[in-house]
Amino acid sequence: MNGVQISVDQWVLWQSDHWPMVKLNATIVFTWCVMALLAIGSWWVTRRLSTDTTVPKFQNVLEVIVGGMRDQIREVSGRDPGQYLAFVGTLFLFICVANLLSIVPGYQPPTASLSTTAALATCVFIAVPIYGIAVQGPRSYLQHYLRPTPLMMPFNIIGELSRTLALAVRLYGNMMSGTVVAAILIGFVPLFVPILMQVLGLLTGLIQAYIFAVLAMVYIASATTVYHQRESSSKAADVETNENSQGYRIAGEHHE
Amino acid sequence: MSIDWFTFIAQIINFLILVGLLRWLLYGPIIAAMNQREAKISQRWNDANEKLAEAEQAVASYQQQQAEFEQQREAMLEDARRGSDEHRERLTREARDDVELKRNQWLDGLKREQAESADEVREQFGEMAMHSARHTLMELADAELETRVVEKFINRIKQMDEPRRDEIRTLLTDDASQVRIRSAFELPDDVRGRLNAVVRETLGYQGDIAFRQSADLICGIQLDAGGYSIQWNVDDFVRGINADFTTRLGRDG
Repeated sequence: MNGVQISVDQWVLWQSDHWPMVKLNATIVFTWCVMALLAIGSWWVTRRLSTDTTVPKFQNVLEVIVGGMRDQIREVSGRDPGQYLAFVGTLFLFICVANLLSIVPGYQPPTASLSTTAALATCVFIAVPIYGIAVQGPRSYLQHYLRPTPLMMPFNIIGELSRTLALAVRLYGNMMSGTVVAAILIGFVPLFVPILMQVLGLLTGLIQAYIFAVLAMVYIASATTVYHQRESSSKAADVETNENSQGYRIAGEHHE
Repeated sequence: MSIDWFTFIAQIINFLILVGLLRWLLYGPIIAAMNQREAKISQRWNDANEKLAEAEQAVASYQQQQAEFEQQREAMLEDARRGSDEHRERLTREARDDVELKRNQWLDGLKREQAESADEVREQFGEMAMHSARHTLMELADAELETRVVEKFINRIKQMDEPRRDEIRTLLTDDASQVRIRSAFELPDDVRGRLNAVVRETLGYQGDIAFRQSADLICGIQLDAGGYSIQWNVDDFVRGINADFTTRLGRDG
C-alpha cells in the first residue's frame, strides 16, 4: 500500500487467476486477524472460568466488557439483552478491536474499507427486520411501514436505506479520514504529531464502535418496540399517547 | 471510494462467523459464569440474611430471656429482701420477747428471791427476836414480869375506847358467848381473880372465864370475846418490827 491507495481493499495480497473477482485483500486478511484475536483470546480466557467470587483478571476484564454491553443494550432497548447481545456485542467488539489495532505498525483497520462498513451496515439492515419479525410477526412488522399513514411508506423505506447508508459511511469516513490524515501529516510533520493523531484515532475508533453498536441497537429496539406500542394501544388511550411519543422519539433517532 | 463486492460478501460471512464464534467462545461461557456467580452470591446473600435473621431472632430471644431473668432476679431479690426483713423482724421480736421473758423471769426470780430472802430474813429475824425475847423473858421471867404483863393487859382492857367496849358488851349480852383468856404462862389464882373482876367491871360479863395456857403467845396474854380479841404479847411487837423491816426491804429492792 502506498500513499495513493486510500482503501485497504486495493491492497491485494492474492488474486485468483480464473476468477479475478476472487481475491484476498488486506481487508479480509486483517479481518481474519481480528477474528482470530477475538476468538483465541475468548477461548484462552474462558477455558478456565471461575464461578467463585475471586476472578482472574482477564476474565474480570471480559466480564466487565460483556456486562457493560448487556447494560447498554438493556438501557437502550429496555428489555432482556440475551437475544441481542451476540449481534450487537460482536459489532462493538469487532469494530472496537479493528480500530484499536490501528496502533500496530503496518496494520490497516478493516473498518477503513467501505466494503467492510457496508457489510456491517447491511448486517444491521437485515438484522432489524429479522428481530422485528421474530418479535411481532411479519404482518405486524410490515405494517409499521404504513404508519402513520400508507403515504409514508416510501419515506419509511428511504429512511431504512438512508440510515443504513449513514451507518456505513459514518464509520468508513471516520476511520478512513483518520488513516488519510495520519498519512498526510507524516508527509508534513514526520515526528510527534502523527503520534497524537494516532491517539486521537484510538479515541475516535472507540467512539465509532460505540456509536455503531448503539445505533444498531436503537434500530433493532425501534423495530421491536412497535409491537409493544400496538399492544398497549388496545389497553389504554393515555398509555398509547405516551407510547406514541416514545415511538416518535425513537423514529427521530432513526434519522440521526 | 468504492465497494468491492467480493470483499463485501466476504466481510458479511466473516462477521456472521465471528458472531457464532463469540457466541460459542465468549458470551455463553462468560454469561453462564456470571449467572452462576450471581446465583452463588444470591445464595450467600440469602444465607447471610437467614443467618442475620436467626441472629437477630436469637438476640431478641436472649434479650427477652435476659429481661425475664432480670425481672426474676429482681423479684427474687425483692422476695429475699422481704423475707430477710420479715425474718429479721421476727428474730428481733423473738429476741425482744425472749429478753422480755428472761427479764420477767429474772424479775420474777428476783422478786421471788427477794421475797424468799425477806421471808427468810423475817423468819430469821423473828426467830432471833423470838429467841432473843424468849431468852430475855426466860432470863427475866419471874413473877414480877408476868405480873407486869398482866398489868399491861388489864390496862389495855381498861383503856379500850368506849364504842368498842359497848359493842363487845352488847355481843356478850346477846350471844351469851364465853370469854376465853389464853396466856403463855400459867396464871395464878389471884391474877385470874383480878382478871375476872376487870372483865366483869369493864365488859359487864357475868359468866365464867375459861383460862387456858397457849405456847403460841410469847410472854403474852389474850382475851377472846364475841369475835373480838384483846391481847398483849411480845409476838405482836416482833411482827410489827417484821412488817416494818419487810416494807423497808421492798422499797430498797
